[in-house]
Amino acid sequence: MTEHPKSSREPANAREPIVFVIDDDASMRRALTNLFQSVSLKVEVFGSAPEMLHSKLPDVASCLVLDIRLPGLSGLDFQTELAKANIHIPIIFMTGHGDIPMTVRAMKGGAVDFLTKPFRDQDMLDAVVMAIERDRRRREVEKVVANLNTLFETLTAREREILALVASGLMNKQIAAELGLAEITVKIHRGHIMKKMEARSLADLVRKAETLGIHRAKP
Amino acid sequence: MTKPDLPQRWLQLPTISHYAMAVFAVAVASIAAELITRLLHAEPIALSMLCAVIFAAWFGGFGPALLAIALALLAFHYYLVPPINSFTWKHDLFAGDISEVPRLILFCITALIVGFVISTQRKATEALGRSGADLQAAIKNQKRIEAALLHSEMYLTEAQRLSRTGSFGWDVSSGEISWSDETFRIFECDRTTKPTLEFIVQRTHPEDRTAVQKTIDQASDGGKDFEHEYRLLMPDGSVKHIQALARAKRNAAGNIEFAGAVMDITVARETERKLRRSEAYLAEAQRLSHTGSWAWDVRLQTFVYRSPGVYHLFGFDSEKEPLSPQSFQERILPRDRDLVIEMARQAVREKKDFEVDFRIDLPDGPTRYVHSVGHPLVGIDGEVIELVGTHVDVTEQYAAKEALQKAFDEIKKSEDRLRLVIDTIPTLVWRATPEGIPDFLNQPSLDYTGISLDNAAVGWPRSFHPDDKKMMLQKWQRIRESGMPGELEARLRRQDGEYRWFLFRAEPLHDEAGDIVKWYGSATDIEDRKWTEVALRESEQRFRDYAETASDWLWETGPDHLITQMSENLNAAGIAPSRVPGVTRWDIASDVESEPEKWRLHRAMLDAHRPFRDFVYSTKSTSGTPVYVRTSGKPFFDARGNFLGYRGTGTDITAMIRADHAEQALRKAQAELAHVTRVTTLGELTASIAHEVNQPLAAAVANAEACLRWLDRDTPDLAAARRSVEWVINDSCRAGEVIRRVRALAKKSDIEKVPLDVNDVVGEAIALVQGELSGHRVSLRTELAPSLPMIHGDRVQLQQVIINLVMNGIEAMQPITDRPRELVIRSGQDERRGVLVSVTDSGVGISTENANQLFNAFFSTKSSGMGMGLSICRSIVEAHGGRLSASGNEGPGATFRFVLPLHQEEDAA
Repeated sequence: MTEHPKSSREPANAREPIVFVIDDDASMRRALTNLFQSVSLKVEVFGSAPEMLHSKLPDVASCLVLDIRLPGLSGLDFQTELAKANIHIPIIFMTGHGDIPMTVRAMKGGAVDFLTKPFRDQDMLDAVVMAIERDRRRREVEKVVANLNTLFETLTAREREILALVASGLMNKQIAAELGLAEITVKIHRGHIMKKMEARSLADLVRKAETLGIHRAKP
Repeated sequence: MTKPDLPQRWLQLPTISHYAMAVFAVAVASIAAELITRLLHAEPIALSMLCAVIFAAWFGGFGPALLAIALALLAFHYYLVPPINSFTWKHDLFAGDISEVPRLILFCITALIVGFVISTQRKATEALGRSGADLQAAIKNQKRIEAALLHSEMYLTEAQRLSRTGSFGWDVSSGEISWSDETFRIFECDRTTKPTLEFIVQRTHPEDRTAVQKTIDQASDGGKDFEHEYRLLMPDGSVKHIQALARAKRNAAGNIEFAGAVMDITVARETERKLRRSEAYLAEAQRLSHTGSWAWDVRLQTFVYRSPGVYHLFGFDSEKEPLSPQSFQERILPRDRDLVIEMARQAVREKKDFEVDFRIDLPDGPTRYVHSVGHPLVGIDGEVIELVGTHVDVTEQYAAKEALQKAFDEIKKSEDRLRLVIDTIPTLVWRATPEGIPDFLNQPSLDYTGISLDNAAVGWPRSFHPDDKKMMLQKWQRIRESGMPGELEARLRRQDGEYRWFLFRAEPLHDEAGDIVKWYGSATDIEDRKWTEVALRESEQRFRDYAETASDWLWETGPDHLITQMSENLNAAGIAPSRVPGVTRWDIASDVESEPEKWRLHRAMLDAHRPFRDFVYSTKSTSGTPVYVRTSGKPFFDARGNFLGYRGTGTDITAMIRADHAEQALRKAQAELAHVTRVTTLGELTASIAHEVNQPLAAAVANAEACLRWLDRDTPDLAAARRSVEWVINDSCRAGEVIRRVRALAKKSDIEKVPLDVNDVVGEAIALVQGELSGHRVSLRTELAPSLPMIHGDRVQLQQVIINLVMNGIEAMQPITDRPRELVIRSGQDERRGVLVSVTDSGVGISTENANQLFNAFFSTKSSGMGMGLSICRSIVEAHGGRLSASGNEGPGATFRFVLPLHQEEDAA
């Protein structure tokens, strides 16, 4: 506990993954903290789900170790809530005595693992490592998209319109006809678009548009 | 006699009338002559004229006679004038006939002679008559003198007799003595006795004889007047005082003769003697009474008399020279002097008695006070001639008066003090007439009632409380009729309208005859005492009530512990009261042999004279059934601390003891039942309990694994490892604790009531149901009041109650999906300072048809439940002296709450 909370505060470690723990039982929180710290994982614990939602979460790869039995909002309900809120943190469930329906529901909801107390430490650590890895990957994808989005934001309305038509595979001529523009105008726009979207080729531009999910608006 | 009187009378007539008579006589003579001439034809003129002259001379004297002569001559002449002798008118009166002149002269001479003679005769006759009358008067006078002499002699004799004065004559030469009758009588000898000098001397008192003889000798020798007094010794032995005085004169023969008087002055002497004695008495009396009498002559402006007392009073010697009024006046205190003089003057002026007090300043002594009374004596001329009066020395009276005044002042002062006392004592004092009418009230009475003294007769009775007034008047009437001191109590209105109780005491004052003159009384405020009395009575009644309600009977024992008194209600217990007096408690007890130790202690307690409480023993009723008696007693002592015995109460507790037995059995059954339900509950809780055990176990395992990892590091972190191990121990202990609680609940143990903090109990119960709450996704909120007072109860049973209520709440919220399932456990103090625990759910609530039978045994809305839960809960709470109740919430759900009495109250109850 002495070195790791310290390291967690260091800016160098700001990008370190974090394990979030929600358990209403203080000793359990303490034990898990102890365990994760023993393998040099950064830990943040909460007594209840709302407690976590109200705290500022760092934008790093992370996972959530969640007890199913919680006062008020239960673990499973919280999983649903997070999904609804478009928070895609990987979740590892714990339970005192799990039953099949509960496990099924958890796994359907995208849980990384479902551990029954008392669990073996290796199971927990494996699950956590896997979850963090998964989150990291997800975060990378999200990052690319976010970049494209930023670029996309610089386009004018006409450029976005033309980009959508380009992405749907129309030729310049077709686009000009579609929009009632001169072909040369479309070409100029396309040139701007290529520059703004940092596309090296047309194929690259189309892939980026697809990544952004840009489609031609249906007439 | 008449004859001499006539001329006398005539003489007395005025002389003019004599002359008139002469004229008249001549006139008559003329008429007569005329008449005679005419009738008889005579010439009587001269004669008739002569007659007239005679007449005038006789009655008138010579003067008138001369007038008559003159007139007669004229008349005669007239007649002689022609026509002569006629009485007719004559022409020439002087034409007389010379022849007639002789006639006239003759007539004139004759008439003169006659007139002279007649008048002389008349004078002689008158003188004769006068001397005869003188003679007669002389004779008459002589006769009168004789009669007077006779009288005088008679008077003299009588006077001598009355004045006891006799007269005597004594011819010294012949020695002849003549005595008057009275003298004989004085010497008491009869007239036949020849008075002689020898006889006189012999009759004289022997003591005076020498003096008498000497006087006689001197008288006979010197022939001088003498006067002497001496006493006679009468033959009967009586003594007479006589005074003799005599004048000497020489008789024709030249011998000395004494004429004198002898006066019997015995009475005078006796009177004088008496007077002198009475004067002496008076003087003595005056001296003794410090009184002096005096007489002041107003005209002489001097004191004509002063008794010795006066001198003595003024500090003078009466024997000395008479003193001037000034010297007396000077002794009077200057301030009083003018007053005295003025009073005396006023008395003289107004002829009134006067009284004046003045002071005398004696040169050698103290001031004397004199009371002087004066009376004016008025003379025949109506003027005051004398003032007589007395001076009385009233110095002592003054002193006495002053002393009296001082005494009066003292009395007044002490009266004032008394009044002060009467008016300041905090007691109402009153006085009433024998008829009972108040006529005096002291100041506190007036202040209290607010009535004035004038209004006392009416206002006082009106101040009594209307409810007491009739009673008061009746009692007051009885007291007065009895004539003896009495008292009564009544309420008296204070001026602000408040009534207070007073004790009225009345005491009669009798006069010498034993009649009641006044009633004196006091009224003391006994309001507080009255209240105390009432309070005492109430308190007495209260304690009697307490004693009678707390026990069945009251008893008293003597110093030897034999029962002396027993109240009648003893037979209610089936023990005949007649059996009891005169025996001891252990004589009637039936458990003396079976419980000797109890009785030994009890008797030791009694012998130590210590109070005892709730001593229980058994005896037998008259019907032979056992009777349990609980008795308490307290020793009592007399004023000197001598032990007199015990007093106490007894109660038949047979029924109580039987009920106690029944209750114990019931309690045991209840405990069994509670245990069964508890175990049942535990069965229901298995899953939760597993969770509760798993939780710390999981933590322990995690910590243990962490420990290993800390140790397996390249550089083992020993501190973290140690910490981990400590946490492992903690978590393991916690798991053990859960199991211990479960065991406690499952264990069949006796009820053990200890002081508890209800919050601890709640916490322990929650620990057991935590899993159940989470499992049913019920959030638990606790609102526990901090620092609650301790209660007295069985921990496990109370946990059971709370667990039961929580489980019920969880169950009631099972169907709820549309709102949070929240259970709230609160603790706090209720308004009666009991400790309150409530469990509120947000479940389905209580339907009205279930509300009534909620706590009934075997009532359940659950298909699986036995229906014993709430019933047992209620039994447990009530066994703790509390109550369990349920009510619907304002929102959804229901609240169950139970209240437990405080630990202290448990003790006190």
